[in-house]
Amino acid sequence: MGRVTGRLKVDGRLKHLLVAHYRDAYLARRLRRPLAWVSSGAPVELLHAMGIFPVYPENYAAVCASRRMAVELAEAAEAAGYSPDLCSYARTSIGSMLAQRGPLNGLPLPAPDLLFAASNICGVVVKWWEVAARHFRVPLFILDVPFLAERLTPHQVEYVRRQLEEAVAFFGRHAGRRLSSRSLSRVLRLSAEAVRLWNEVQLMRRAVPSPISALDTFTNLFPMVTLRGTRACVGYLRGLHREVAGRVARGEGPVREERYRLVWDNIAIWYAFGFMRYFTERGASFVGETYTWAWGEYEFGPDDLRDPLGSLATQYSRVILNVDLGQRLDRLLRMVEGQRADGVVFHSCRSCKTYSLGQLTLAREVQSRLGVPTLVLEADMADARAWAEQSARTRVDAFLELLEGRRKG
Amino acid sequence: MMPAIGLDIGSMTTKAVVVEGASVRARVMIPTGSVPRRAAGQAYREALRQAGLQGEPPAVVTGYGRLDVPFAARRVTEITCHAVGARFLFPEARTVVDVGGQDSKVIRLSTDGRVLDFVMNDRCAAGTGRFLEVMAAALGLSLEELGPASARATRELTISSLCTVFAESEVISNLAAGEAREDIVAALHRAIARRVHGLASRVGLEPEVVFTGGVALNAGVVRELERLVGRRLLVPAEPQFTGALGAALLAETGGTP
Ligand SMILES: Nc1ncnc2c1ncn2[C@@H]1O[C@H](COP(=O)(O)OP(=O)(O)OP(=O)(O)O)[C@@H](O)[C@H]1O
Ligand code: SF4
Ligand SMILES: [Mg+2]
Repeated sequence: MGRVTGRLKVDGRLKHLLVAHYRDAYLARRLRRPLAWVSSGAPVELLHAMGIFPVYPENYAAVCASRRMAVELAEAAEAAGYSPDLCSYARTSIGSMLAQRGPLNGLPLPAPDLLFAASNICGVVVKWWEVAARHFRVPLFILDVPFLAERLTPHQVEYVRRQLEEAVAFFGRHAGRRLSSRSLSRVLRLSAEAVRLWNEVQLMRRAVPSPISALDTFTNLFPMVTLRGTRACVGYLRGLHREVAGRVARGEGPVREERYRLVWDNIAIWYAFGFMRYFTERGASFVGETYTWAWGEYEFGPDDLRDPLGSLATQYSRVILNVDLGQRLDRLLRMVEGQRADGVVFHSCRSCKTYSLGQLTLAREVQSRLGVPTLVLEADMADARAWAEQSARTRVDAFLELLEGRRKG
Repeated sequence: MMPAIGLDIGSMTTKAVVVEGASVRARVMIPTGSVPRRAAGQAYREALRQAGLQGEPPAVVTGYGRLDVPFAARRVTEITCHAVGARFLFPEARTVVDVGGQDSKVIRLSTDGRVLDFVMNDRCAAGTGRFLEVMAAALGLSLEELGPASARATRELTISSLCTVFAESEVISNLAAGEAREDIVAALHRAIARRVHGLASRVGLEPEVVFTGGVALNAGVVRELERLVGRRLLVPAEPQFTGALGAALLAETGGTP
């Protein structure tokens, strides 16, 4: 039986990083540093290399949700005519833009100098960025990434690579910055190092008991999302890596007696961390999430430095929301087997159609190919109005009873 | 074996079953009302009285009100309890469909009776027993009359909404348009059956299929669901007690599902 541990010690630094990141964002204008709004699937490395400060409206929306402000902001967007069926990140962000309010000292996300989005996560993000472009009257660059069915063709890579060249010229024109290949290599190396550390942390969860659970990775994802390509990110991940390795060595984990090992699919439910703790209390650890895993997919090897734009084009074409169901299934099956999981929890996220569509098929395949049971929970990552915690807990109870029956059987 | 008691605190009704060996010694059903724990206490005492038992045997408690029962020796979800109860009544059961007052659920079982997968309807009571109660009231019929009424239907109407509020107004406008009550009732049953069937298709409908919960008392819903499933459903003589029976069986064996 493992020893129980609470929150990670590095979490303390996390708060610091988050505050510093947003403080820098608010100061960018005064420091004459161009600020860009960037979508989660856009190759942020370019911006870092060009000295453009990136902020992520999606991350900001997640912060709004975890501070329980997303609903009122979404309502502000709905009052302005945006459909409640629109992704809640978009509604939260647009609502914050329109109402000029937000959770960080009451402020909305600072106005951008330019906008950069990639179509590799969904179509919503493209329209959302267009709304922002009209609202702030700033230039917008959309990177069109073709959906990856089965295989990535050289033609596709070339198509994206050429757009990246255009993007560099575009940023140069509008932000007055140039791209030096030296700084791009430096950023890519930092990015690669962060990815390497992150992936190692993820694989350490193969240990029994798992040293950390979903709550830890969902929280610790922040530097991977927003600071990937910076020194701060690598520094943070080294600390995380050390601490998690220590836990593995001592046989520690967040669960008193690890009875069930689970995998989570889809975005976190940012306002319901208490619900995630419920799993831990019941003896269930999450040993992987497709969502946090996704940030470990940007792997740049030494070879990639020879053609950095081509390699960015390749990496950012392969993101989880840009590949067909077969590839998603492969990744999921590998995670379930590799991490020795005995159940998969699918968060069917009302907002994120790209992520949620196909989950029933994935569930069926996981059941039939691995004999591993699955649970589907209906929720939303930011809009708490779509959430019924009590009935979700009942489903979790039933699911754990089911897993318990298998242990006995 | 010692007698054992199971309680099912449903959203509409609270059920208690006392079992001993393989036979049921007592069963009680009362409305749950607004204070589940009060209904639970009452059903518990009444069931013990009927069974002529002294003392206070530990109860396994299930149903949506299970968390509100302080004297529960163990709390088990309805998924497990319905599975155990249905399987006890019909050892050949591979799928259990339970439609109660507020919930519908479908459970898939392995050949040895373990729960393999389950689904529950999401959040609202659309297309469950409560829905039928509202519609019966709008039509001026009792619950018991719904099944027989739909058997006399002659015309195939369609009720498109399963939202209780919208469906009620559809019923009223159908009545105003001079449609026969029997035809309207049959349309409501079809709507519910379609929804339950959709839910069931998510986990896969392996025969034999057992239908439990209060709505299984409604022959009209049973008939429509059988039509969609394409085979006869197994309905317990007293479908509402299946969950409490399962709870009692779990109390008796002291075991897990
Ligand atoms: N005699 C009857 N004929 C037809 N339908 C009936 C009859 N008695 C009860 N019902 C139906 O059964 C429903 C109640 O079912 P049940 O007692 O299984 O619900 P419950 O267990 O309290 O609810 P839940 O499981 O959703 O919490 C009623 O809403 C009604 O539609
Ligand atoms: S729809 Fe999904 S991928 Fe697109 S912005 Fe919303 S959460 Fe992100
Ligand atoms: Mg019930």
